[in-house]
Amino acid sequence: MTTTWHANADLLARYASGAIDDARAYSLEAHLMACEVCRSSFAEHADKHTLERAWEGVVDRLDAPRPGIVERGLLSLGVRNHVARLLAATPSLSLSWLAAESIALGFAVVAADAATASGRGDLGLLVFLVVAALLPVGGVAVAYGPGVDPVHEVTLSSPMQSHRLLLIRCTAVLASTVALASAAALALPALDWDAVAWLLPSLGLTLGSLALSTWLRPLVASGIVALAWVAVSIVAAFNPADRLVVFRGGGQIAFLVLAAVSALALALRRDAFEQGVV
Amino acid sequence: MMGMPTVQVIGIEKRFMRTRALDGLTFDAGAGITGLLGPNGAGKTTLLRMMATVLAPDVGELRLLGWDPRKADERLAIRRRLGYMPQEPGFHRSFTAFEFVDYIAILKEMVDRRARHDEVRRVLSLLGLEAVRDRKIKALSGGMRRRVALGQALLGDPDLLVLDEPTAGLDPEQRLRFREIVSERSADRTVILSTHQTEDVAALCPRVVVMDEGRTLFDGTPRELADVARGRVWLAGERAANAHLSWRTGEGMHRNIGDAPAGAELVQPTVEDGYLLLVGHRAFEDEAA
Repeated sequence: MTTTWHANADLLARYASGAIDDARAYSLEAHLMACEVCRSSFAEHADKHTLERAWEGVVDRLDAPRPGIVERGLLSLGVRNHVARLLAATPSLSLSWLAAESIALGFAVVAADAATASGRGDLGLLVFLVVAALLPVGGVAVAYGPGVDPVHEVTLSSPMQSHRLLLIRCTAVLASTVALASAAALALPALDWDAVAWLLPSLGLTLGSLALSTWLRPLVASGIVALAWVAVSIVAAFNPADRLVVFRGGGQIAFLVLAAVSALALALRRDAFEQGVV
Repeated sequence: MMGMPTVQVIGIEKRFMRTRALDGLTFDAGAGITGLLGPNGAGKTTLLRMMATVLAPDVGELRLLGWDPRKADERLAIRRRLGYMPQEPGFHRSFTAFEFVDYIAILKEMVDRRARHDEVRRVLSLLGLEAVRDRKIKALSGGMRRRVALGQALLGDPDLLVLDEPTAGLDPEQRLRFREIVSERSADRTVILSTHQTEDVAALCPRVVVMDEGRTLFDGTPRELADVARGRVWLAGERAANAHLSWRTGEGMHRNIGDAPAGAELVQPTVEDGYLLLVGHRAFEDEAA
């Protein structure tokens, strides 16, 4: 292919230093692709250090292995590459865990449908709300700590602060679980504000189990919180006046207080995660 | 004594329920390789976990690279200069070797992607793992996984390297390569190495500490450890009645360790002989238990 014009030295120098606007840069790049004379001239203007760094970047991109499916998904959501890798190692963000959560929510929705069909809609909704509030607790339980993270010992000895890693992972686990539970709520027979009444309880229970994790192993702490939650829910299920009493105004305020107190305890006791205490 | 001590262990005690893992242990180490020898349950792993800042002593004091791991800011400073390979290194098995080492590099605060990847390539190349770097951890052999675990400990060329039985499961060639890699780094860095392999100690360590029941039994050079058995190792056609330990060698003679009878054919003792003389009786106690 031949061209009828050539870029002058001033234009090439300004392009090499990044000092021209995008429109002119695109035009010049198209011309450079087709014109060997200008490509040769451009080589004289290019900063060797910049070129080397660009080339190293290209080599690194080509040489680095392609990330797994979870990591690619996180990267496509704009998560930074090192955070995506930290999250990819979270057991409760694995595809199998997310699939298990989806199945649990699916069963809860089916139970809600069946209960509504038999005239006990509040019982069906209770089952869904209890399960939806419980899932983040389970996800957080297997996001960090001895017994669930195979690299826990090395993680603990690294300079990355454990409570920071824990919070990054728990935020991602909460976000994924809330998204799944919200999607499942759309399938409930009666869609109203009651369908999202699990949000505050789930936040309170999750933060409560995290705060308890500063004294106990995360799995044990989450187990205690989950058992307590199920026990309270069973008691509520036998309340003839209102089975959803724990999700009403007073209950919501109680979970808000639990979340606030737990967050404070977590902030004050975060050093417990750093010393291999748990 | 090898220069200024970078690791100081002063009167450390640690209990797990009713078991006393460390019982007033005291020693220090400077630049170079210090080998920890001892039978199972001697407290080596407990001590190394403390040096890796993942376990705190009940009693006593620990100073690593001049810092106190009980203080949060000093513990962070230690962790920034620490490489740790646990006795049973875990892995995220769905990661490739490259991804796994890259993951640990992120935990070690290497955030810049290109610089981090360069460092990951460096350690994988050092351990001869380039060919398998894109293979999933779950598809690697035990020896290769061991090398990956060592690779993560070497990230960032740490000043303090804590290695808990790093040569377990490695074949002889890999062990030689390991010795080469670790010895190259030991000139101005502190390496604490726990092992059951007395050959590794003899080949690598200018200093060896023998532990038993949470205490120090011996502290000296490998030659001094071998000298513990000087005049107490002899060959005979059969097991000697007064030998503490005795086994038939490949050449058909019995190698006896203990109080040699008059006129016995004494042989040059090895590090293993010295070690066995100190703790060999424990093997029989463990069996009896």
